[in-house]
Amino acid sequence: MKKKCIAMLLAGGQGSRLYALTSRVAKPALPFGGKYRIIDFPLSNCVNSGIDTVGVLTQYQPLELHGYIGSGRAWDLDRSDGGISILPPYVSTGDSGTWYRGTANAIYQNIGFIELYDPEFVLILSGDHVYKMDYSKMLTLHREKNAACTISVLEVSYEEASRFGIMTVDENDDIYGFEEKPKNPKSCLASMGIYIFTWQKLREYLVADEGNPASDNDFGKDIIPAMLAAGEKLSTYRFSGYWKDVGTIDSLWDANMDMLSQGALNLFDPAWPIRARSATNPPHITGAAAKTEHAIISEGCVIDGTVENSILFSSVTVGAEAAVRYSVLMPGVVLEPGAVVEYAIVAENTRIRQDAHIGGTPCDYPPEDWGLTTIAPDLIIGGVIPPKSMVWESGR
Amino acid sequence: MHSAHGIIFAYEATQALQELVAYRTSSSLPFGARYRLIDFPLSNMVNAGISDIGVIMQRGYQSLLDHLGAGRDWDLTRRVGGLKLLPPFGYTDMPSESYRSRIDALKGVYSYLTRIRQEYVILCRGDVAANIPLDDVLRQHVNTGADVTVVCTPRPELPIQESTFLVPGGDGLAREAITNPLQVPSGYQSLEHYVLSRELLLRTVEYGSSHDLSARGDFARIITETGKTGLYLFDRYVAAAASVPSYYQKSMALLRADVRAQLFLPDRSIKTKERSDVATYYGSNAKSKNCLVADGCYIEGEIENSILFRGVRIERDCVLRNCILMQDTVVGRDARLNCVIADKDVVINPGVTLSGHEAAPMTIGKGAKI
Repeated sequence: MKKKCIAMLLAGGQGSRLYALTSRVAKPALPFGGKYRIIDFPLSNCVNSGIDTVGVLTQYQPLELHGYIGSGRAWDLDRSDGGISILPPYVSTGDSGTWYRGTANAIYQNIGFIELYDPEFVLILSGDHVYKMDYSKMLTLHREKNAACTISVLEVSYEEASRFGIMTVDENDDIYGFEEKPKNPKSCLASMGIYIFTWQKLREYLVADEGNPASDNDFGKDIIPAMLAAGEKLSTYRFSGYWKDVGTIDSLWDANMDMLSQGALNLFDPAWPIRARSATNPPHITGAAAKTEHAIISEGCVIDGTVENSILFSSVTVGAEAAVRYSVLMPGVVLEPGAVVEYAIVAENTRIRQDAHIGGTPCDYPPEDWGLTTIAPDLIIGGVIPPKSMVWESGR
Repeated sequence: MHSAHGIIFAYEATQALQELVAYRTSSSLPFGARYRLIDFPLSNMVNAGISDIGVIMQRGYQSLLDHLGAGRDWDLTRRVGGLKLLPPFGYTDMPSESYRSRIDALKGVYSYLTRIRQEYVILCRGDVAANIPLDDVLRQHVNTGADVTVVCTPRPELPIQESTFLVPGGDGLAREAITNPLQVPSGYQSLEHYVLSRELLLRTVEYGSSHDLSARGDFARIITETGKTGLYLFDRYVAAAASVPSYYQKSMALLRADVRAQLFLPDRSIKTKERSDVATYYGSNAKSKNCLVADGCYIEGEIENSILFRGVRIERDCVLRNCILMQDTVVGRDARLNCVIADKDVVINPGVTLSGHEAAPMTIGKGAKI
């Protein structure tokens, strides 16, 4: 059945700057904010915006992501017509076919999927950011302007601008210049990596780009500049609100901590629910000596120690006299009695032994010696792990 | 693996629960911070591999309908079979008052019973919270060759005078059944969880109805007189909400780890309606000691020895002790509550002080504003 607009969600990246946290799981499947995974944000935004057909392109370590998405029921995306479709790379006749070589190549390889719905418009999203956005407003603008492509943009500070794709726009907010990570940015309008294309136009450029052996097959580096150079109308949709990249350890921790301050991104807002798929867990329990201050605690947790300024995912155990401060503990983490965790991210099911002291408080260290501590999943960790460390293996 | 069909009796509202059953049946009573009593027999059946379950209801079942839906949260939405909600089917001689007995209730859904495809039927009360391995019960039933097997508890949980006691005879069988005794007899109390063959069930209902045997306890009596009665002894935690004080006491027992370990088993989990709340947030002034707390709560005050259901909001400077607060209840600033059971959607205004006693907790009805 024909759809007006479908979404293609690029969820195949490794998230290599998350190191130990994404060694076995794709970034969009990373636990976030106590109950969620990163991919819950773009998926929920789609459904809340009235988009009921989403292709999720996976590639890197997709097992947990595929299992989590399932039939799409948790986001009301299990539909008989449309709904969610998982799109990994595939082989064709004669064993031909490649891994996705770039963001544009990934979409190119799925032209067949898109054409099933014969859409007028295609929304390109990534599973890398935490934000709430009504894509239907962006689509309305795209249609009013009759653009070939509309890019969602955000004002950033001048200092940060060189990390982004920067747009220069005219008085109509149409793009006339575009630079990837410029050393001397000409403006502070950053691309959020969210694009709406008029499908027939995008199709043309994808095919042309595929035929160009020198291309990196990337939206930002190849498709957008090609459209710009050809004089196509590229417009911008100005976004304001909370939008956080969670691609580095620091930014992931930051974004999690933002969830504690009720102002940043209101997860309690019934008008724009962010849905997640929850495991079946009993309610959490606080013991007689528990301390829980400024914390998010999920179901199945057993708290007998101190939890301050931290986010605890489901089924985390904090033993008696154990303490966790300014940290993120992912599902199933166990702190044995007496263990201490500060300013750290501890990944799923890792056990912290009673003699362990993980991380440290910034004011106790000279600035160059302090940083967050990251512990990989499924480990058993004892002893002292200083700040600014990353632990990949069990030991001590 | 023997095939079994499930039936849950969910039509009663135990009067001794007063306001707590003003808007619902006992099976729909919220329990354990995020469940309703019916979640336990339902989950027990699903965990035993039963995927076709009929839930008998009669009146006041809006709450149950809303909670159960199509059975999705228990994996019971199937193209063939799955969960079937059974309000009364019309039949000419149906009485206008409540079902007087199990026979009455089963008569009310007789055509459903005739279409059961499985060899065995497991029937359970909908208002008993316990994690019972029904597959084990079924296995024992088949191995002993009993005509009916009854799950019993060594510590009486249900009102004595309306229950049946079975005296064990060895080999998993009972040698005597005592129905509706005046005081506690020897033997073990039936939890009204039965296993019997489909044929025997149909014959029993036909016999009971054609002989107008509709007094309470007649079902138990007929089947225990039929032939061999099997006795499955279940000696772990059971919560049957027989009255407000016993509901309160059984709930407070959940604050003990050893009790929770008997009810919430990771490989036989209790499933309930998913509400997609956010995780619970504790503010900077929050204190939570010895509490069972569900998702979606927002806690800025002090709570101790209490059970908070989903979405409860506790404002600053409150002190709550020994309370049970059901879904979406809001407690305003500076309120003081002790031994209070608040039903859903209650609003306690700032500064209010309320106190009950452990043996006589104060109950606040659904939606009340104090």
